[in-house]
Amino acid sequence: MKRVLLPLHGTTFQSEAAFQSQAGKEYALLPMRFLKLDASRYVMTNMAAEYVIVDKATLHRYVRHELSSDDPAYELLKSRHFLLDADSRIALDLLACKYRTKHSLLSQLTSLFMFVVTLRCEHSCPYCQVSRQSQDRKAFDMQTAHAERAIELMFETPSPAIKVEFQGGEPLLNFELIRWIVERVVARNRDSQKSVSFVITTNLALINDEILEFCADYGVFISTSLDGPRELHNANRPRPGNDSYERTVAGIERVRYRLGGDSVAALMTTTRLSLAQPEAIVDEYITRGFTSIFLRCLSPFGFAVKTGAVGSYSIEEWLIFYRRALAHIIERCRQGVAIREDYAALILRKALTPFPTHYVDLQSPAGIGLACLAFNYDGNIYASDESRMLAEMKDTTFQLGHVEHDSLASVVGSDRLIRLLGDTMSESVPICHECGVQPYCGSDPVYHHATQGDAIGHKPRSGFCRKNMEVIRHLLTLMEDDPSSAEVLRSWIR
Amino acid sequence: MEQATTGVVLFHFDLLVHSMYVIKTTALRYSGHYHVAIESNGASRVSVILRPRDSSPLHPLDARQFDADVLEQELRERVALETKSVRELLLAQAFSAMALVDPETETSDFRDDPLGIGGPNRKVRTEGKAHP
Repeated sequence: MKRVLLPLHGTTFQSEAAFQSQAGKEYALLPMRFLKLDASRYVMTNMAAEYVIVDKATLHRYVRHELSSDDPAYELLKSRHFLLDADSRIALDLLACKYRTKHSLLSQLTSLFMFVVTLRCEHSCPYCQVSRQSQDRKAFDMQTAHAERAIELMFETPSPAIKVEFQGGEPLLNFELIRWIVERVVARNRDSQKSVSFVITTNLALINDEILEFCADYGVFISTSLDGPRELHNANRPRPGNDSYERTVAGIERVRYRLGGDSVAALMTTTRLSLAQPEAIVDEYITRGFTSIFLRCLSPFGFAVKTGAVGSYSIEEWLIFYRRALAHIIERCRQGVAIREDYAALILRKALTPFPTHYVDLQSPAGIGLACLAFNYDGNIYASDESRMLAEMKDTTFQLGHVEHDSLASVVGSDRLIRLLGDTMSESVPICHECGVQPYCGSDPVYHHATQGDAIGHKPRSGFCRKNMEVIRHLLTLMEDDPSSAEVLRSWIR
Repeated sequence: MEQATTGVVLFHFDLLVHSMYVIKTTALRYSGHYHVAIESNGASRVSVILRPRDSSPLHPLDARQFDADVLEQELRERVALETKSVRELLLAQAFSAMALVDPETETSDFRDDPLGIGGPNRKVRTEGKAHP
């Protein structure tokens, strides 16, 4: 076989012969991974996360250099950077540029900082993943001195933007501290001039006019939980009076009226009860005026483990639920309703655009510590929201420091975080490194540590792996086989 | 392939045909449902033994699938070997233009001249400081 010279940046003038077509004479393979999509087809992905779907015979011919230049697959593979021939003058430079763009987040430190202002909550959800405390236990409130140190640490970030997210428990049970932190951050930012945004993650049961006025004054965004129709939501999220749904729905309306239509978003959590009613859950979101829904399965933390909620359904059952819900969302879109599934949108952005996403769970290396930091109520600093959930189960593997004696540099440069991140580069993890959907997936060391006692995880037994692989397969199959669904899915990419 | 009544399945491979790396990486993919053991049978023969983790025996289709997966794994190995150098070149090319340590170099204005090197009458410069 003749050797194909790699075209490298820097050659200014080419000979006349170089401009005559050389296509098809010989080709070199470019780095790629593949995965069986179904019984007869494979998905191939390149270094820039572009994909093609080919049949088995084409895959074999391509790898064995038997693909003819007049084969329709040849130009497709060439144009998507799977092969290089003598005509490919800028292919490597372009591919390197695309790869760099996909990994551009590596040069940025986190801009998302979570403040767990209290672990108290007035709900008693059996699937609670944060191990809430009862309302009278103020020992689980963050101290002002810790909040003050956390703010100073946060402003050490070189990131030009900061997002402050208030978490709980139910953070509105410690609204006075939220007020103090927001005012302090705004004052502190007069010197720093960063772009600052605030989010309160709340069940909305305690929202009132005073809080709404404050949110309006400071542009605070609201993120809430809505699990579906009344019976499902109230069964999932018990509270005194059994009126969680009524309070949440009324709260959403009040927030929209005072702060604007786009000022509130909602998340759902799938329980055993949810599995039979994906369409009703989607329709509830549409009825409540939401334009997106994030279909999430339970995470193995906190009371979700103690009560057995997390083991009450399998990943396979959740995937059936997900496919049904997604089909219904797509159908409602065809009918003219503006509604998007956020997990699909994140994966499709990875597959169909040159850009990365900030979503913590789909990063390599993992997003822990790099894409977010959590300041717990006790001043401890954790690598992610799930890390502090794990800590409430007496496992502090992902604790990175304490606000009293650490700086941002000592936290993100800690041996512990660097070792954990090194373990989470899916480009070098067994099975992941050659998986055809690796560019769309990521690492979740906290999940794998919680379920298998190992941050890397044994992928053949990983629920994270099964879930992502099947969701991605399903999305790519829809993109390939169902033009009508593909049109809807493309419209979700932002 | 041999299938015992206990659900244990044996596969025999010739190392002159398939590499040990390919056999091992294929077997790893099956280690979710099966306990995997690989035994040497002389200089160029190995046996892969799959024991179901639960009581359900290996489906016949899965048994044929193992052989197909070995061939598929060989393709992966071939691509990895053949593209190793170009992958390293691409990574070097990609990250050489990325300011991981000093993001300022990606965001600064090209008209900035913090050291005054573009100014007139510049004579001596020592350790970054210009002396008139």
